[in-house]
Amino acid sequence: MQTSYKLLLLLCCMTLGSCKKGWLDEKSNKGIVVPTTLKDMQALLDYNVVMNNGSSLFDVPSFAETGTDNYFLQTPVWQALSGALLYQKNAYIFAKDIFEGTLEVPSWNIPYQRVFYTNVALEGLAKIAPAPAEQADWNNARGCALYIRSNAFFWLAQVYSKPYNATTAGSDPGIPLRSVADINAPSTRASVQETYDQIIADTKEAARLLPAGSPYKIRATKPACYGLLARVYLAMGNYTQAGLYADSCLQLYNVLLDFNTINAAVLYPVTQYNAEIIYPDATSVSLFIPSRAMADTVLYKMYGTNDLRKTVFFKPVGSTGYYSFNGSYDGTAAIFSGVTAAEMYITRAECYARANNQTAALADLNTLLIKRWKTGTFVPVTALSAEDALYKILAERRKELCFRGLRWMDLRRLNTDSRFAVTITRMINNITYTLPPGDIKYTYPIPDYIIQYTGMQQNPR
Amino acid sequence: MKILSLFCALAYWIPVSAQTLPKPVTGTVINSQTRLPVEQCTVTGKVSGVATITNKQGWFSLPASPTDTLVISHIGYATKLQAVVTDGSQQPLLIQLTELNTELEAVTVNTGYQAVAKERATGSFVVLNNDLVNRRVSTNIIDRLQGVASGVAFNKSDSKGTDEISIRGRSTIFSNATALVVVDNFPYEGSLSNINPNDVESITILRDAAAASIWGARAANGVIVITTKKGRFNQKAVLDINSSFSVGTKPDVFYVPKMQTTDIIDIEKMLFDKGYYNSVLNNTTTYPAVSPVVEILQLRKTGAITQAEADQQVDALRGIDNRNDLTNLAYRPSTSQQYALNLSGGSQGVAYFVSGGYNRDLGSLAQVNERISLLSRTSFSPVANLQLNSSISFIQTNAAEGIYPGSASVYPYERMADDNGNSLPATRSYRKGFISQLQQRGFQDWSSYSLADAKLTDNTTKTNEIRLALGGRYQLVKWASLEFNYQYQQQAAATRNYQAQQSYFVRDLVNQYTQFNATTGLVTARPIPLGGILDKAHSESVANNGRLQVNINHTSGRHRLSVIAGGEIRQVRSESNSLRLYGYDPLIITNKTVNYDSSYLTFPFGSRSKIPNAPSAGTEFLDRYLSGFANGSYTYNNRYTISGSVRKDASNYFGVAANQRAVPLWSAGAKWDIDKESFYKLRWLPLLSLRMTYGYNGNINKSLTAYTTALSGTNNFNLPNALIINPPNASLRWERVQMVNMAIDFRSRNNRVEGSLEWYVKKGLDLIGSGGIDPTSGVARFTGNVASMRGTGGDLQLNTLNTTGAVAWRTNILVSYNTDKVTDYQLVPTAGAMVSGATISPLVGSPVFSVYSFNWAGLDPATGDPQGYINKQVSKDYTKLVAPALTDIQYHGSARPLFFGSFRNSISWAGLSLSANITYKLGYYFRRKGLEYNTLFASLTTHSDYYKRWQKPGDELTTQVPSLIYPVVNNRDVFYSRSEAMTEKGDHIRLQDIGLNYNMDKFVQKRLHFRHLEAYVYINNCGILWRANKNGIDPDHQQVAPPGIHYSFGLRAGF
Repeated sequence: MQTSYKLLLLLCCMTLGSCKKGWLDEKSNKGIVVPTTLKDMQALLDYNVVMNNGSSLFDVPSFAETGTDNYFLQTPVWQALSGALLYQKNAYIFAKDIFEGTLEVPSWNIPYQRVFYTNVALEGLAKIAPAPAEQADWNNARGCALYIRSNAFFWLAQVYSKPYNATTAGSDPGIPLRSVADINAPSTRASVQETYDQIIADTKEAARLLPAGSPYKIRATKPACYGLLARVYLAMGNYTQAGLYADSCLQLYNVLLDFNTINAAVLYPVTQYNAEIIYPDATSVSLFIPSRAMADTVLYKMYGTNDLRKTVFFKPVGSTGYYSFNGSYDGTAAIFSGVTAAEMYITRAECYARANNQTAALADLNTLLIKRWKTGTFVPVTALSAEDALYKILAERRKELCFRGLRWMDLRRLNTDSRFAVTITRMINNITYTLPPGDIKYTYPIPDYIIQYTGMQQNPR
Repeated sequence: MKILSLFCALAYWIPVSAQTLPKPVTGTVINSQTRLPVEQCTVTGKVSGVATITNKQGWFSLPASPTDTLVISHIGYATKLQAVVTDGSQQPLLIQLTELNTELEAVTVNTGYQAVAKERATGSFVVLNNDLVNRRVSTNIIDRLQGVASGVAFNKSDSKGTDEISIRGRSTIFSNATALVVVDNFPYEGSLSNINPNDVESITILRDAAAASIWGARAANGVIVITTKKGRFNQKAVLDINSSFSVGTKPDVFYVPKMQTTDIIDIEKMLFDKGYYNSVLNNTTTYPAVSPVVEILQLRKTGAITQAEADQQVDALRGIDNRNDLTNLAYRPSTSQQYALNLSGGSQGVAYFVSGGYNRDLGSLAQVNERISLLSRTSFSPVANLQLNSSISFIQTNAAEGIYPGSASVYPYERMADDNGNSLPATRSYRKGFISQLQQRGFQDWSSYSLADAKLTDNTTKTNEIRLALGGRYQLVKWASLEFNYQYQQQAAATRNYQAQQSYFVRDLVNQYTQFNATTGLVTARPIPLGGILDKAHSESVANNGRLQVNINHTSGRHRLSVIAGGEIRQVRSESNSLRLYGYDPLIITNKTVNYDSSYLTFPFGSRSKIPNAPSAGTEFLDRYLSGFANGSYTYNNRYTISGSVRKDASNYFGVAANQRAVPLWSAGAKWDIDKESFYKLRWLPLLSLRMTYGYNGNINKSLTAYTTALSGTNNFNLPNALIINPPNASLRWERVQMVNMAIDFRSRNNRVEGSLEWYVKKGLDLIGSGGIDPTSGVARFTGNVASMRGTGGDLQLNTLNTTGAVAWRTNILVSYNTDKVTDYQLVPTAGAMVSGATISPLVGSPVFSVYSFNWAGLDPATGDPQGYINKQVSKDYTKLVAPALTDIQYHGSARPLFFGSFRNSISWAGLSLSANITYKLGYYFRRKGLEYNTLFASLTTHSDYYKRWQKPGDELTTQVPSLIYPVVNNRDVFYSRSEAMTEKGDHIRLQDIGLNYNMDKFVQKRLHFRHLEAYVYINNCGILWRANKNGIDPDHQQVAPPGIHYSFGLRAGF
């Protein structure tokens, strides 16, 4: 017995011992990787379903748009909103409780999912010492990661923290600035000042790392960084810097679409990834499908008869006499929130006007508008003064950049100036709801479950 | 074996005396169970002392006086006495011998590694012998465990639990909860419906740590070991045939109570007047469909028709209920045919078993399921110490999907066909007015014909399985043998889904991608070409298993030692891929190419999309396991047994840190046969023993890894991209289940009462839990070893022999009790999530599957609004009511039965036997579906509770259904539908089945030289005898109608 038993034990041990190493190292699922290489990191950042595709629920820009005066809902349509649209329904009437205990708010979760991907990539890249030939790819990956994270932080700051005010920014609560991939790291709110500081610092670094252009429209580039910086400074009311960065952006990329070449008969006339886009980003939310949200009638009337945006952007809704917005730069019903050359022109124009450079301001405005009007009908805009130019530029800004979430940012910053302050009014079931300038409701509450998990400070409402 | 042959040899030499020679008595000796002849049997006249031996046919002839008594004896059988004159006739005698084994040595249990005599097994085993396996008529082997296997629960109505069958309750929260199934030594990969039940000899269920631990890391949920039949050496060739035909009733489409069409129409009219459909009716870009009634109302509103016309058109629809069409035109009774043929036998050195089976099931929609199975098992013994076994199994299945036509027509007043049976168009995605003007622009007809569509789809799946096994056992010495087993299993499945050009699916897709001139509106191009669409999917898996083990069985004096030890290696490689062909013509087998790279403007949504289902690389998996195991038992003096086992598994599960790849598991057990002690004096209880075991089983979760892992793909710029599927978790471990089992076995004198009572406690340790993370971290869910749970329960098995004699009446009672609770969980779920029950929300102290509800304060007497409690105050603040504190919700109990089992009675008399099985499930809760205004308005999902709704003050005394309000308050519906008012007790008792068998052996053996002939009738799903809920709901089938009564008729014959 002893011999045979020992022999067998020996055999078993040999089998187990000898082939354990290599044989069990074979991958179980061939499609799965542990991201370690430079290519893997770039692949994470190129996962555009999360990073910048229209089908994702990035959602913050559209959540921002929910509070604007670009659209209105008819009572029966508003009443029929439910389920995933519940918090849009509440946000529409500036309700105190928006989430009603909703357990999954994409406007918070998805931007932070983007942040998580970029942190995984940034930590992975930190461990890679690139060979000289790989340095450009490494720079590109790090630049993309910093850009995507900054873009997410920017939008989160527009929705979940108070408008930037230089005197209180150091103590106003901002957003959690997560910078590690460790999912167990606690989330705490930085100040508004820290939030903007980090967005600016990271985007500037990204601008140094990234190339001037990319064969792939979904990837961030130098002009995309400058465009984002122009936005950030605009939100902060720093018009000098905003103008400078808009200018840097346009130096590198200034292609405008000629709306005369667009077929307005198509349901969504503007195509995805078109030449005017510097960085694409979009979010689909069914509140803004053409049959729900109707374009604000005042907004619609602002477009001149020969302004092609009137037909490219808007379509009549049945027999209602109202119009829906169909001009998304995503080529779908999604809210486009990316950077375009047109946005940079109008931003630079505003900054010139604020710097009393009336000529340069109007030149930028007219460069843009000639591409928007029917050939041969455009009369260049003139102004009596730089202030008059500013009024006209801000009106054009609203017309050019509607339904991009940007109106919310503009309302927040312009309301501090009594010349441009507006009160937003909603009417549902003959009850009127208003949002006066500077109201605390210009900051949305943080989803209740996030407060429960993290114990962070809630926004007053 | 040797003793037997020696005895037989000696028996030949017993002289047959020939004195006065009375008339010879003739007869045949057969085995009472197998009904096979017993040869070499000694037949002796008690008075005369004359003896003879039966021949190969079991036949004997012996001169004996009419007053003499025959003594029939054979080693291994109980000796029988038989009077020579039985009835005065000179008919040959038929003498049945009962095998001693079946009485004394009872049963052997098969663990998949060895067969152990149950009397020396310390663990908890349930054995279903061939009679029990055959009791039920079904094409699926697993169905045959239902109601006859102690501790095995069938969880029919759970959508969230993945375990259709659970053995002794649940042992995990989120990981794999299905039991391991072993067929002939090795884990069975693939569909169990492939196994032909007629090939199955027995099924053993391993329920506790000692029984299952030999299966190590896959044993936590219990193991079902299926053993197929095989031939025996020195056995006459026998042929068995079994054939049956079953028919089942049509599904009851009226089971879920709904509103009458006329009232649904009134709801739509009310909604129309309130402007509910305005946004849809105003949508002139995509023209989403509205119901025919809304269409008529809109025509009236725009003035296109008069009020009288509108009323007349609407009234014409009021009497229609398209469920009638579903019953009359789509459904038919299901049928099932089964044929099986087995041939087995053996000579000195070879034993064989060959079987063939054919099934054909026709479902109540046009589904067809066919199975052809062939099995051949051979054992041969070329030299004395060596036995080789080989087995070849081939199974082919063909399945054709049935298309449920009801999903396309949602409006109850839309008929599927006219009175002549012609298919009628149904309202589907777009408005009819929109569709009708498209055809002249060059689009395909966009109408949906639900009934006709079912015939335009041909969705078939063909599977092939080949299993080859080779094994050998070499007896090294008398008490030790070396054994090897190898099995190769290949499974391939090919699905072919052809949808003709006329099918809605094809027309819809072609239209969506059709390009047209923006000014003229005329069609310019079709990126998706006309013609059918063929989807082909192929999957294949190949499993290789090898095992080497040594078996030791040593008896010396009062010591008996039994040990197995060995190693096992296993690899499963599987891959799958799919392919779509556009513009497919089945007649000439051609297809058209499409451009997958371009994005096209889709109609009418206007977004740009690429053509779907571009060729992709498919998936490929490779699972590897390496295991070492040892299992032993030692018995002293036939009354004290101890056992133990160890096993270590290692696998290549990706991303698990190398030092955590292998998991060691062990068990120990003891048994005491009290009845064999000298002090034991209870003569009425000849069998009494105690057993106890303790040990660990493992459970694996393939979805988790220790590192950040990502799934590779390609984005729309053809760039490689990666989706993070798992955040890092460095401390990941495999789940373990610790289990203690205590049991008592007993049997009274004459087998009147026999059974066992077992009690167990099991603890799930290091269980994988999920949830509990701040979404700001970027992941919405975290998964890790954060949980533990504890289960306790017991299983009582009681078999009684109530009458003996001509009428034998037996009762088999199974009572199982199981309860579990989560003992450790990091995350406290929200009360809302627990009440909703949509996902598993573990709460420390409660069962994994629990039923919670919102506290109910009745209806508001003034408005009929549902009311609940906030801080013990009656409230209608629905936002708060649906997100209450944990202390403010009601815990009802487990969502799975605490008690379940069966009560089976069999009565047999002269070849006739009747058996009926009553099953029950007790001590659990479920939530019924009722009326929700939200879904009533949005999708016309109706419920007859509508008629019970609160309509005027005073109604609140008789009803709990809230009043109808507009606009809908979402949370008002949510609160009501998840409140106490909708919670029901699940307890019920069911007459599962009735079987009637008529055994004609006596007749056929005399007249037709058959060995065996039996006719049977089997009625399944007889119905519920008692239920706790008052709403007529079958708790096992809440959403869809329970299967109707199923009748089977069959014949078994043996030659």
